[in-house]
Amino acid sequence: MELIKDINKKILDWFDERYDARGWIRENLTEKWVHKEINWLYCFGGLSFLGFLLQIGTGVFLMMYYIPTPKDALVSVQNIANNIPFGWLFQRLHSIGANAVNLLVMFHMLRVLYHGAYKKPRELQWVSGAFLLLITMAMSFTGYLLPWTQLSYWGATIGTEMPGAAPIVGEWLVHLIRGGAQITGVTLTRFYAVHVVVLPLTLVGFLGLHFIMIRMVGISRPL
Amino acid sequence: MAKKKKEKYEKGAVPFIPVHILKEAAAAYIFLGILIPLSILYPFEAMEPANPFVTPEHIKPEWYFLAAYQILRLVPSKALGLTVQAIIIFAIILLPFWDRGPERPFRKRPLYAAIAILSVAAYIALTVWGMYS
Repeated sequence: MELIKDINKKILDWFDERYDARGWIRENLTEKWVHKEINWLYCFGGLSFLGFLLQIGTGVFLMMYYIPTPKDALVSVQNIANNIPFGWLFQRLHSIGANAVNLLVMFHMLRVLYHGAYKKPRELQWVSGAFLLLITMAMSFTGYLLPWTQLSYWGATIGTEMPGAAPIVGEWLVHLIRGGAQITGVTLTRFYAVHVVVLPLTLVGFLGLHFIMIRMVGISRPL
Repeated sequence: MAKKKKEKYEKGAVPFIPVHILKEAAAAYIFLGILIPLSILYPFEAMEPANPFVTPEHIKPEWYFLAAYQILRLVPSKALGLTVQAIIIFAIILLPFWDRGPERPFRKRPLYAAIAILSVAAYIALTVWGMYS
């Protein structure tokens, strides 16, 4: 025991000399204070984050077996659901979990809305949160096309039509999103790349900002 | 900006760890306790492969897009519908910059409370309307 304590102390000392480890632990873990009245309503932000982590975990697993071509997309999803060990669970968790994340993010926003918690000095926490909602929805939209079913194909057709109504750039935008006049295999790989790389990275960036600002200012006081 | 000291909290402070983190952990268990059974109760169903030549009769977006979809269907011009949506999105993003009053409780700012409650009610109503139309 003495030996272990000694080693622990040496390791901590090593980090202390360079990165003020004990100060960091005190400030962020052992002596990080929150308002006494903080209640269960304050859990939705953390739950949204958990939901997002779950989407990453299950999503990486799905990526290992999913094939983003019109011919193989649905076949590969069916293969995940029917043949791969526990594939059905990961597939279900990912697709039902997407609904859960949207719901949790909305509950989190409702709590903040009700408490007026976005007021000075927390304006930018709200702005970054609003972007997180938009990114979550974009993730849901791009992910919905990937199984390449009738529902996802025509859902994406209607969804991508919308920007076409914008003046001047409308047509060009639709063409950019679809990679052509119609939804094709080009759209599928495009949505796939956006769904698994572009949006998650953007989301992580906004999450980082969101968390850092919350840490700096502190959690708002309940009413 | 300096971190808030314990004495600065009006009604007292509790340590984030373990007090709040335990609540979060319990909530996480409840969340997983709902999500995992749902994943088992609603198994993967055989789905129709995409067919670009056959448009299905009833096509609806996922529930979280239904309100936006319903707005597009209600507004006669597509460009106008898109403008309405853009205004709503910007209003949400910039909320802290147009609701600038210092008061936070709902009952102390009736106008804001009315707008907030009506907006949420409208979102739910449009979603339900979209589901059944």
